[in-house]
Amino acid sequence: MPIRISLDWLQQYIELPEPAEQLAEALTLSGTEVERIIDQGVGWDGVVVARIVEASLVPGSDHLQVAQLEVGAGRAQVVSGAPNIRVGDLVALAPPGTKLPNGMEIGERKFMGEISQGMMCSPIELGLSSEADGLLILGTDGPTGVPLTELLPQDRVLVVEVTTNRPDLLCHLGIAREVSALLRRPLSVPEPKPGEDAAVDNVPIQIDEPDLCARYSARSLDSVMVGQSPPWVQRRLRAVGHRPISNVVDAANYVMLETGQPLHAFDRDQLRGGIVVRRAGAGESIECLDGKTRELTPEMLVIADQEGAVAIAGVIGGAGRAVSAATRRIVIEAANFNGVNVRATTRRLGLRTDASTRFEKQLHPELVPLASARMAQLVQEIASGGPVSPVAEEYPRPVDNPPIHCRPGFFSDYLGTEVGEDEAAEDLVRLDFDAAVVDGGVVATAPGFRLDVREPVDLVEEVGRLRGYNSLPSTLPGRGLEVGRILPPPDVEWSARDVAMGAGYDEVITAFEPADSPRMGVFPQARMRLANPMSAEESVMRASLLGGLTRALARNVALDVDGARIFELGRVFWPEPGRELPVEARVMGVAVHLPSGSRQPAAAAVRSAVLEVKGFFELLAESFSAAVLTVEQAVVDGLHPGRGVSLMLDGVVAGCCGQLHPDHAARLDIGAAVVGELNFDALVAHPRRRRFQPVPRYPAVNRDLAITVPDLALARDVISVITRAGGAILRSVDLYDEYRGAQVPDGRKGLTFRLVFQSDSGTLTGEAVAAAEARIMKALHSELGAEARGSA
Amino acid sequence: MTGEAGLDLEKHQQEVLEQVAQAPDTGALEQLRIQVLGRKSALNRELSRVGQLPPEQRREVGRVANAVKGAIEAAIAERQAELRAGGAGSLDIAEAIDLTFPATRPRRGHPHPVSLVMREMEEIFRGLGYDIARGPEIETDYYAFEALNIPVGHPARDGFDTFFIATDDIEAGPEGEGKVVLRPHTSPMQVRYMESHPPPIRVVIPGKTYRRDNDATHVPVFHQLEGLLVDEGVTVADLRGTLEYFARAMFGDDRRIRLRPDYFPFTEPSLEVHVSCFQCDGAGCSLCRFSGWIEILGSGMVHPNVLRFGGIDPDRYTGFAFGMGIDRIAMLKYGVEDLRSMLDPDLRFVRQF
Repeated sequence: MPIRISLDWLQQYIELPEPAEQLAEALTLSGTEVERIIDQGVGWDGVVVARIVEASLVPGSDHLQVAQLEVGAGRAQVVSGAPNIRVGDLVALAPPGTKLPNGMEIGERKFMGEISQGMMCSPIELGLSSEADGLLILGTDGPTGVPLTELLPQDRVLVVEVTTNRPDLLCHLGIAREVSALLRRPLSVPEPKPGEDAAVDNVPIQIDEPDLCARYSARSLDSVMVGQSPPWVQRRLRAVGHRPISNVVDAANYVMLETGQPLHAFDRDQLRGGIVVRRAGAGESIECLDGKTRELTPEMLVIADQEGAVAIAGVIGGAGRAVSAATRRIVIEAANFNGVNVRATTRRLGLRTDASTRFEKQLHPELVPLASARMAQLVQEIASGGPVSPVAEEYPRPVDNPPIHCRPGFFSDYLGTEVGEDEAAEDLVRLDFDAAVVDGGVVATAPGFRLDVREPVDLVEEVGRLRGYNSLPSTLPGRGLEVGRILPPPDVEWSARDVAMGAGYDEVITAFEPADSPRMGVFPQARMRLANPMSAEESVMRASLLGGLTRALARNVALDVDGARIFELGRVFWPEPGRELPVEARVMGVAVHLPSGSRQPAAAAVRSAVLEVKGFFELLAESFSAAVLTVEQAVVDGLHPGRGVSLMLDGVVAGCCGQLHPDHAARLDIGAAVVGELNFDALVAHPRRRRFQPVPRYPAVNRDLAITVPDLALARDVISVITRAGGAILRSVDLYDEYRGAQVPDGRKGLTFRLVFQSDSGTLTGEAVAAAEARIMKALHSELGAEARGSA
Repeated sequence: MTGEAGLDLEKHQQEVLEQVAQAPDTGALEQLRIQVLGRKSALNRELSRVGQLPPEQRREVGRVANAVKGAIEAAIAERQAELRAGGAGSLDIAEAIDLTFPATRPRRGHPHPVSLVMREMEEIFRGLGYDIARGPEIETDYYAFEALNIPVGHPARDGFDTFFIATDDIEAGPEGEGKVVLRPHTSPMQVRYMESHPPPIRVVIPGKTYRRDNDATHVPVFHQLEGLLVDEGVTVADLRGTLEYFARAMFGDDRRIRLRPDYFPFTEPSLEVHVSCFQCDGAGCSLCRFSGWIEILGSGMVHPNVLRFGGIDPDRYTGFAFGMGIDRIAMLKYGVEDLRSMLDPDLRFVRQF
């Protein structure tokens, strides 16, 4: 969470180096990143404060408004599209002729017929912010026509990103402490001593939930005059992005921004009885300071009086006991709440406040006394408060930071460079630790505002960041590989991608499925859904790559990218009943867009495209697997019912390929496509083993075999009969032609094979080959009704 | 020596050899060859006459005629080689082909830039002796957060924008505790790997990660590479040296790195690593936002609690871990401006890699 630190404010505690960039660099390299430096009040010549006295939509526009502004004694009319125009607010007006810090020159313009005499500025245009959030609003009370720099004088403001373990740095005093340690400069910490009077009546405190509220303190003040804060308070609050409200509320915010401890003030006269810190009752609700009524649950902690909840602990105050203009007596709350509980409450309520973002990071209870006294003093100073009561406090869970013991040599051993124990102890003392060298090792206790230091390594962090990590040497860990432990060979994933790219497929990465995506492929179809998807389009974890690949094809077809041939090698997720986590399998998938032109490409074109995809999977299997890849003509979800096959590895279904179902293709508007996927984990489960086979020593004999078979005979069956009947000397069967036409009777098709015969024991005789051919022909005839071509 | 019927073989040889030497191209040479060695050539007639000579002459004339034939054949072969090897007009111009035509390239697909960078990273770390492991993308809350020292209620959980898996039977708390998540980082594999591998450990874990986020610099699906090294006596200086080696291998030998303290619950100390800008070399440019440095990864010394979760004694072993966004580094390396391009299957993007 970025916060703003005003340098004008900061130098109340410490002398700052010039320029501010040097301070920013030192903070950044110590772990507290300064994101940017705002030059407040620079380049604002001519920009004045104005009040919106009237606003209405420009006729004919749905968002432009024309606003009438009070500018001192004068008036101005300005047209603006800002979303936060509200009558009564003070804004920054750049009249015609003004040149803004971002270089924009303002002139008198006309928008949709309405004159605009200048511009109401947003924080961006004034260089105060980098994010658009409408107009800069300067509150409601105050003079108009005066230069903006009267409300926001020249200052430099650091935008600081504080890590979640350091809520103590979400304030000016915290940053000042860091600067003091980093730059070795003395720090002046406020020591408030509000005038006390034991006669002032305080409220009794009772904590019912000590685990959720470690400490609660209350002070009461009488004769408070609620009104505006003095200019110096308003200026500081505005400089760090807070809007002044009233002196009492401003005092609470001011002290929070100074010490890091959130505070709250109740109207003493509205409170009924003492304060109880308890869980909300079932069905309890509270109207909050922002005007909204919130339903509470028993998980939530509330501050209550006799009548009910008066605040949601650590989050927001209730409207009923709030300080108002009529308030005369107040109760100042300074408390420490359980961060996890505050965080859970903010999540349940969907409400985060300056207080809750601090509490949920777990503040140290020792911050309470300083903040409470400081606020009492400030109310006395700026709200003419009378004497303050003694503190009423419950502190059921005191937190004492324990001493941390480090063994001798620990800092040097951990950092990898020589750091003496006395040097380390000295560094820690600079950071307000109580540290000393005892028996050669450092013993240190963290200061009373830090909870993030628990172990010796946390002390290393402190010493390291103070000394700077960039002076460390660069070394490589000493012990390398061991003979007893072999680094496994690289995974074949990359080689598989090389095969895919070698086959001409471009790689894509896809992820989620739409909620209504159809079942596709042969894998298990159960899918996991996201509980909190960003959209319905991306709400399901895929069980197959085919959906994502076809949508990727569609994307390219829509972009007129020709010849899309894509692959993805990625995970799919198959939930298993009774198991928390799904099976995650790596799958290789491909998709090819068939050349457009006609919606129904010729069967031959489809077949050749599918066979090419099938060939790719065969090549993949041959490259990486000892398993044999076979296919089975099958009806597969998502594929054309007559144009799909399942892919099998050693007889087990492991994927599919074929033509994308025309209905899917039509839905995606992609003409025709061929897709396929194969379980890559199953493929590599039995890795290919390379073994040398002696090369043939005797010549091979090639023979062509031309037959006709019934139309419905599958090529695979024909090949299987040939292979079996050919015997040991038949070394390969290559189907290279299919023919239908004049010389083939109706209902039959011609197939032509190239057969290769070879023997390891001698040159084959013509008789041996002829005998094999005869066996083949006979088997083909009897099993499949095949005839030799020409004889049928 | 002269054959009886008249052809002066020596003179003939000399004449023919001169003609051969002067043959202007292979076509002319071929014509000449037919003329002087063909069936109707004078030499052939002379050779066919040898059989009719008296035996005492036959031997000598035959020897000479064959020698002449051999010499002519050799000369023709030599001239032919000369013509084929050499200068203009040596081969018939009619055989010329315009080879300035655009090349025919073998069809080859293109890798996704994330794959390119992931593979390069793996190779760099394999060179340093690291194992490569991959973990589940769908993870338990335990490995994704608890075992990484991020208990339920920890404010650091906010930064992860975690996706949860919908379950019918698990009642989830406001933090999704007890739920199954899409891993928002590759760090869950730290403890998983420690559970199955005793130290010394050197491993990198590349893979997909998921967060509920979508703008020019955040997308819901991205990739990280996690690194983990655990051994006796590992120091922050070792972390620095390792990541400096990586940065130079990845971004160029003259790069420098800078460490900036940061906070991650699973490392202590935690360090953000910056590399000197490889576009401006530190002078300041838009790529490095005029700082001279580009943040490339987060790292730190493994928190003792994480070692304990992994079953490793933190009093004996120390280690470091790091994690980096692969998509982001690919963006930096190739000058891609919008991270969302990485998830768009637009082939006009992929085909540039």
